[in-house]
Amino acid sequence: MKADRIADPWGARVPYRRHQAWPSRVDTYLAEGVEPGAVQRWVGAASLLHSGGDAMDIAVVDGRMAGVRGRAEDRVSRGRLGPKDLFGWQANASSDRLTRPLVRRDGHLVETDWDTAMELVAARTRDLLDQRGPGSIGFYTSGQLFLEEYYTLAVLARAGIGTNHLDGNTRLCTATAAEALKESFGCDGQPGSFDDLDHADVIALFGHNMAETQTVQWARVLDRLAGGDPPRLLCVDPRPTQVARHATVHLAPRVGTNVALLNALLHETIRHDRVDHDFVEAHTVGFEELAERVASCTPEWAADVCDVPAARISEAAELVGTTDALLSTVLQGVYQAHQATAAAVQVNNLHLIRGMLGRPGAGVLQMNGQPSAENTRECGADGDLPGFRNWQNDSHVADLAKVWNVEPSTIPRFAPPTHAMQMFRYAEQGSIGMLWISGTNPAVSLPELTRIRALLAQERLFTVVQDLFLTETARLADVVLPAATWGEKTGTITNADRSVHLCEKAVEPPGEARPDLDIFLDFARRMDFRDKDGRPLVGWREPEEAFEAWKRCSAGRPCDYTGLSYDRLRDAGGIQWPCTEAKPRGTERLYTDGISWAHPDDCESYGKDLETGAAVDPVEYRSLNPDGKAALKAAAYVEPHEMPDERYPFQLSTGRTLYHFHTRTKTGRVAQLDEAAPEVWVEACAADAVRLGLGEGDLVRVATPRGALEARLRVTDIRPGLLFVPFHYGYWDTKEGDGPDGGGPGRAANETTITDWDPASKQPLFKTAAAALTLVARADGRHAPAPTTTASAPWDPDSVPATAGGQQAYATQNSEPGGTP
Amino acid sequence: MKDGIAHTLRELHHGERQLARDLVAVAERHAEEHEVHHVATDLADWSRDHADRLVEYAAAEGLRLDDDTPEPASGEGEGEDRRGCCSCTICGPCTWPPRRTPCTGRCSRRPPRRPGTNGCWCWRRRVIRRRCGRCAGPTP
Repeated sequence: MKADRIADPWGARVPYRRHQAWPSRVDTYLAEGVEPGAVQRWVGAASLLHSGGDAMDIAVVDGRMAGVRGRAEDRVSRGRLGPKDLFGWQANASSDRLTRPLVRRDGHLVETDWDTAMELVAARTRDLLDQRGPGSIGFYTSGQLFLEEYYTLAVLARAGIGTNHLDGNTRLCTATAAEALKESFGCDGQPGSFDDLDHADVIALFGHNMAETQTVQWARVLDRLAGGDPPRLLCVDPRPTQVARHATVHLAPRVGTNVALLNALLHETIRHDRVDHDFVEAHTVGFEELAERVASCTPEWAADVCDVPAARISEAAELVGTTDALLSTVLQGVYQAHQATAAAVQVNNLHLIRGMLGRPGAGVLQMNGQPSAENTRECGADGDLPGFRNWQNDSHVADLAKVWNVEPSTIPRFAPPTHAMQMFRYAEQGSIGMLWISGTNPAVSLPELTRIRALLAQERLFTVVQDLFLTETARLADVVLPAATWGEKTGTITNADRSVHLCEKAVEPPGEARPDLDIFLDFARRMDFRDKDGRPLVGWREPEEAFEAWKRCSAGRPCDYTGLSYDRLRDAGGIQWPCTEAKPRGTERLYTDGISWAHPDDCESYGKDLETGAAVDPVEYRSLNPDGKAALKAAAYVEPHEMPDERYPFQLSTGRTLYHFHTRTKTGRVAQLDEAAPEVWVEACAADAVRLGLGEGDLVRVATPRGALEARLRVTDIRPGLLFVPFHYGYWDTKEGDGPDGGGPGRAANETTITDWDPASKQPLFKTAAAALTLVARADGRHAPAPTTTASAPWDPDSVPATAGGQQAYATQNSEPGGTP
Repeated sequence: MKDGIAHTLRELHHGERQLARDLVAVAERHAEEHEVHHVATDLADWSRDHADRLVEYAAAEGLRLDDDTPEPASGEGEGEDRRGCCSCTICGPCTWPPRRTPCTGRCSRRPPRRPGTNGCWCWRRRVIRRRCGRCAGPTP
């Protein structure tokens, strides 16, 4: 059976009952003219353009990629693929891939050879180390490289250079997930499993537009909704997402008020005594404080703060408070909003006081945004120490130094690791003299772009950019290194529910492009980093050797990989860590038998004050939580720093759409995906549009105190008073290439966003700003270039033609027979 | 109320008010250090809240805690230390109630959007909503 997978991103239903296994459905897309029989090789991989980790095989014909096919036996996706999986691979073959290194000469980037480019980078590094020390060098990496690459980067940055300035763009997507888990459980590590979707009775999605960010898992929810004993959904989202349309209770709160709403849910849970007292007694500390803090947070109080009817809040509280199996998922609506960590922690609290943890269908999924965000956290490429080691714990640092065979004093730990936003501030001030950016595009993805562009363009800052294309950021660089990507190199990737997949090399990279691992290894060789016995610090040359090195680093840690190997992953598909010799099939759920990593000697973090970010002292942690239980951390609601006023009367949130990933470097180069959402748009509700005399397709200007952008207006059922702009659109496909055309109005959402971040997780706020909306030009028959299949669906369905992919978007789907309705 | 308690309440109230003033000064002096700026602003709110609660408690006990000197507006009282501040007219010390943070020199790199008006780039990008130092209500 074939279907237009742009028009129907989730594919055909295969209904199944609660507690049954999810039936498979194998999705295949082959390039036009390629018959299945003509495929010469199928090479195993997992998806790169979201955090779901859908397992697939890449079709190879005559040394070129020719399509993809889902893997039916894999635990994560059971053969299904989403639109970005089906079509995204085509970007690899774009004609504008970088094929040779570039260096800046007389203000222009010119082609050169690898030796010249790498020697330039190494020479500058040596200069800076000699003159100003390791603190003058910063590394900003991605959420899209492989585990082996992050680990290598972490080793060379920490023990080689000795810098504290190492972070990933996962700071923008998953930092709050990690921080919230550390606050509640003492250690990072996803408690739940995607399999909990098969068993849950209530699924509560907090700021998680699963239908667009994890399309395959949303198909799983749709399959359950179509089968017997379907789950009931609670959706907290200010936009009319597909999740909201299928929800039993939908709350659309004022953005920035998540803590108020969650405190009211906790208040109701405690007031009705829906508390699992045995669990609370056995496994938690801090219940009295939490109860006291939420005592005044009635639904009526929250209704006023959140602008949601109190009756709906009570209904939501009843839903999560009376079910026997609650699964909660959390994503950017919480993580990128005001009081991010405080809110995400309250979701953990809800599960802890209800005892909804470590059982099938009862769990928490603090989600990730990017495909290998999980790996940056494990490997320490997000600034934490590798293997979830605690930088404040001397024995953890000594243990890591032993693994690396260096002196403990080599590993910088005089201060907390520098987070990305602070790193860019240091670069702005000049204390960081070299910034090495791998696989990400801060000139589009960071807040307040005028500032970021000016900062990256500084003469005194030496910028190295390692990427596939000449991105907006690469255009401002001093050295550009052409990288190979997914399908052109080998490595592992771990998804949001700890499933590790092997992605193998299917084809050669274009021109002289090299795997990111090879680039880091080349740098390490040139810098001649040594361990304390004079042997090379980075002693591996191949991905598999790097993986084995990582296994040694992860041994005995929460993210133990010692039971995994490339061969095993090849045979078995996705396996969830921890995976040891004793547990070769991996671990489905954490915390099935109490809280395991919160003991003062074991925990990854002693926690932070949620309002100020001040680190908790080890002694204080030990006295508050001597037995290593889960911490119930209470938080009071505080008003966002920027609220609407007369001049900027709207709230502004940025976000994503189903068809694009990050800054469109790949998805914008794929016809099927690009045509589904070709240009930026802005969403407002019908009442606001009528009040301002605006209509569908009008060209409008969205302005904040930082800057402005112009886009066409889509009138939707979004919450009144709120504007939404997708953040994917930058300038690489405009005339200017790196910024707004001739100083005119911008196209990137981040022209408008504020430089402000959550005090605990340091994740920037993209969802809580104040903005003004004004008309620039009438629609004249045009409509907004926004998809109709998603949260950007028009308020009046007949006003806009439906999004469809046409012939080029037809993909095959073969469902397993015998699904039970 | 005993004299000792009244004296302690007065001292606490005065201390919280002073702390709020100091924190606002820090926040504004370091407007470009975003972490310092935002956290100091939040902490100033804590101190104001503490001061308000002391006033409330004291009033119930028949003691009036005077709102001593009002909090200075941005820039006021710290004119000596205006590191990097540019010379454009709108960035001079503004009058109470506080409404803007001082410019830190960024705008010297860019021309004002609308010369002669409040269109200075650095001012526009730093407008943040503040609470009035006297009543803790939002300022316009």
